[in-house]
Amino acid sequence: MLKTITKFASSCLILGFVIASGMSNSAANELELVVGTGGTSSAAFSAGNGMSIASVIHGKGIKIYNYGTKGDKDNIKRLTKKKRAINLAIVSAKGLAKANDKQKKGMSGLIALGKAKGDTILLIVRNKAPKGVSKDKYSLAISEVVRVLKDTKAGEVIKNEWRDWSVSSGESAFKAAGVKRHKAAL
Amino acid sequence: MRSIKGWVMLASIAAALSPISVNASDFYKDKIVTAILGAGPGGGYDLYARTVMKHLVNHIPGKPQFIMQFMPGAGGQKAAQYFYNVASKDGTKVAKLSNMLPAFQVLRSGVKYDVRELNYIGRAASMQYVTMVWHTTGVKSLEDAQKAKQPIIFGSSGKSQSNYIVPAVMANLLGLNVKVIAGYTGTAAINKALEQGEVTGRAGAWSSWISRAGRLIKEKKVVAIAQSGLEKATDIKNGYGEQTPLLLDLAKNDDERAILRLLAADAAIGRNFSTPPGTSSSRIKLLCRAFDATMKDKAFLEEAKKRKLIVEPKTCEWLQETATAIVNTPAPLVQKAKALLGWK
Repeated sequence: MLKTITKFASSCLILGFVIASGMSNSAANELELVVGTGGTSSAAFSAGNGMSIASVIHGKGIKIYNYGTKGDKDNIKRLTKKKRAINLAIVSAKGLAKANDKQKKGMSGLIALGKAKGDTILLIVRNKAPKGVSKDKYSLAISEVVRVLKDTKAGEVIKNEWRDWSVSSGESAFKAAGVKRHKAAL
Repeated sequence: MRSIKGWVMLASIAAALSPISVNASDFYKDKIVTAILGAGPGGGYDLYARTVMKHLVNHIPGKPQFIMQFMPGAGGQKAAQYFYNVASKDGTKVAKLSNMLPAFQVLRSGVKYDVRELNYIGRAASMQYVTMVWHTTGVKSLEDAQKAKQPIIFGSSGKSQSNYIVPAVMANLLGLNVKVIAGYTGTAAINKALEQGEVTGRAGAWSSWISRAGRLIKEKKVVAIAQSGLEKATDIKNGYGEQTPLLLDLAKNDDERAILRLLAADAAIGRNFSTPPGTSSSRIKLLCRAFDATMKDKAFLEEAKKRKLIVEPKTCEWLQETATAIVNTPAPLVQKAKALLGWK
């Protein structure tokens, strides 16, 4: 029994690493990033699927995984919480404006992805690098995300999943929401 | 001429016997396989799925890449319904769904899936449940619990959870002096209640006991008295150092055995992987054999060992048969099981 306990205790340590990060190294230099999106019928979920596929085909050293959440509020909460945080989130401009000051400090604006129901759809990123990943490596990974999303061929892949995909800086939307932009932002 | 005919025949036989057809190989080349999870990132579901998928794709001809898609909600029902009704059926979607699905299908109303139509590709490990009691009760075995004058009070997070089902079975089917207090927010809250003396027992997955309350076991604050599942784990001992019994073995007749099988099936279904209904039989077969090969793959086993993941594989055929048998439990027995749990 003690043997099994020890086995499981070690298992928990390893599990804890994954839990704490929400991001992990699957291959030697590959970083797995989780993007919070929305319900399965939402534009954000479709966009997240497209981004996920595009990251595999056109990304270098990164993989984006789609996490179907409950939407804007849930995404902001998950992006800024201490443990099991997601790395990226797709939110509407209106939803982002509702984030509180503490939450806004923990995130940065990356890019505008298009429009849905008349509102601008934005991509935000968690500022804090996940446990076990250096700030530089995380920063490089975020720059790679932006590079992939700007790529025309990647855009075509994403459009197959969400036809309203149309990237832009989203500068005014982030400014209006009071969220500073990431240094890798478009 | 005869020799040419011979070669043609030989080639045909070889092609027919080959588990991997050229078409299948062509299909997965440059494809991306999506693994859908009925849970969020970071937990045991995620860890098992990523580890299995990383090696599974190497055994699929054409070596496709994979991505994960997290879809938590409603105890795994959200992902199950999406996978069953919406996910594409071309063999590029694989899911690691809740182990409770077969039991829920017969015990709950309004489910929008039929596990008999899902195409299981294999199981990586079981999920054994263990009943633990607090040391001050003086109960060190199931026999002690059967003789106990004071009721063992179990904490539970809800009537659809295993931490409710197991003690309910012990009380209502096996006649143990047990009470259940439902409404705790989760495992951590029940463990806290145990330490504070609010409750004196909890039934939970063995992995959960170890990960979230390993200290209580190490300090002998809790004692294992029984396990729930279809197969007995041999290394789980009671307070006397004896092997803990499987609740299924305590059934007094065939009806009781069938009810216990239904309620313990989730442990056997365990860490399972499937493809949606309507996937072609050739691709299902290919994925089943790729899964079997993964479970024997040295690189996979080494990584599982490194991550301390239990590997107790079962084939797709076994899993399909087990899930179908659960769903085909006769209606009168399902009604008895529902009554036993106080479900409508």
